[in-house]
Amino acid sequence: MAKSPYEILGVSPNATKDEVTKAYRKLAKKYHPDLNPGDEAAARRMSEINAAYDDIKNGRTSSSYGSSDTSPGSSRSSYPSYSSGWEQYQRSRQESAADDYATLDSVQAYIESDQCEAAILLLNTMRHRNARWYYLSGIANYNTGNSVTALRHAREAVRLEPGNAEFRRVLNEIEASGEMYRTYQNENGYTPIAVGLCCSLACSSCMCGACIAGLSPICVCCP
Amino acid sequence: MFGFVTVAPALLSAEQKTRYRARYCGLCRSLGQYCGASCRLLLTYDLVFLEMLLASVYELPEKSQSRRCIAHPVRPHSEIRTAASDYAAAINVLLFHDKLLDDWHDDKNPAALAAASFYRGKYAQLQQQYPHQSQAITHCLTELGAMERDGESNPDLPAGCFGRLMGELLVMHDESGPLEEALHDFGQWLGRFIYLMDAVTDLHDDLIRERYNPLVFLPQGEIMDVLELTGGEVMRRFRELPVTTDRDIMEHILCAGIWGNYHTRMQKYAKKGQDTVHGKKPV
Repeated sequence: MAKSPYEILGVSPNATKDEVTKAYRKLAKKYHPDLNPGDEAAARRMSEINAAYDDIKNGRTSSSYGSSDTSPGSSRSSYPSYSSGWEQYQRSRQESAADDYATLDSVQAYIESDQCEAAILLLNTMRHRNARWYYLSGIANYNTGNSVTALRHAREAVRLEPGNAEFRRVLNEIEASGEMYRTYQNENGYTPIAVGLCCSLACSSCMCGACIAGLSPICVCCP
Repeated sequence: MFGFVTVAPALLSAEQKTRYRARYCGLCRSLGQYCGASCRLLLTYDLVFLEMLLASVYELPEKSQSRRCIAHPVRPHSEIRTAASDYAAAINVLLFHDKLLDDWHDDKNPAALAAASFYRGKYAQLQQQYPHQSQAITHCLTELGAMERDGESNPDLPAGCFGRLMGELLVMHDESGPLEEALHDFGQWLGRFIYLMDAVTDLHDDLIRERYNPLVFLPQGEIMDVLELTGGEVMRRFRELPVTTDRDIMEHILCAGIWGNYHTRMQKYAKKGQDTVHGKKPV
């Protein structure tokens, strides 16, 4: 039997929101890859912790799992929690898949008529998430400026159905922005070292009022 | 969240540096004249970009002169001012007042409260002059604070909130046309980009201090992809704006200068021997 989200975070199921957040941040400090570079086990543990936190925050814990208490207004619930994907899949299989196909068609209709926010609301009410769900969510989130979710979901769609050319095309389109940006960076002579050079070495010109008073939030130094 | 939209001096030509600096000094002058000498202490680079962009798309006439000032009493230097300088100066004060109050609410930093009350008079006056912008600032910063306290796990939500704020600030005139819409759209993406950039810069510190950071929830390898994707969207919208002057400096800021804080921080960690890589591919 898999551990419950509360067990993963090491808190009691009756823990308050603050206690859960505190426990989560403590564990993040211990296992986050940024503080444990190259440690595969820590990275795996961190994604487990993230999924558990996300499940608790969105009310997808064992007792309420599968009940439709994810509020449709919160696009939080659109955030995938991969570790619980299988469980979710098993449950949703028992529900009518036909309804879901009909709903995904309405989602597509919303997207096509440029009502992506409505599409996201509808997507978030669905429990069964297949490749097409992720594909449509990727498009809808991209069009509403949710770049983080858009990229994750477009990638998830391709991961679930690598052979689908349309899913691949949309992912490429979304990823093209990043490539374009790197090109622009090269055109502007961007290198991490040059950009990070603080002129504190020779900061003769840095005499602005803010710097003199030491109030400038961060002295990246006057040009 | 502030001070990100700036230049990387090492990558600018002497001519570009002089021009950027003149605008910086112009904004400082506007702050002094328009908001009171004490407001000069609030000056941030982000607002220099705002001034530069608005002056460029609205083709505002530039007043340039050479003079001395309190910070540079000996050497005269040139200043460029436009109608957008006064607007940027007002936004600077409005933003900082709310930011200080926010710091007081979050960290109970008494210095922030003291500073906020010091600027209260000027703030109230500007609030009446720019009701639309000041409401947007207060509303978005409050919403953002609530999300951060709640530990929001979807980074798009706080980023979108800051984006809405930035979008409103880029609309200088109340009448709306296609140009204002384009500026608003650009501002929204720029706001999201700044928010994520701020988050990635602080990630290491936030983890250690057990503070909220939206990027904790993201797998390590995705962080840079998301930032570059967002940067690309910012640039796409920037290219659609009818920019008439200083295109080179502004593109430089959006592609290189905006990374300055992040890399300065990373170099600091490297010096300390702290290993931290956010999945950044070598350039």
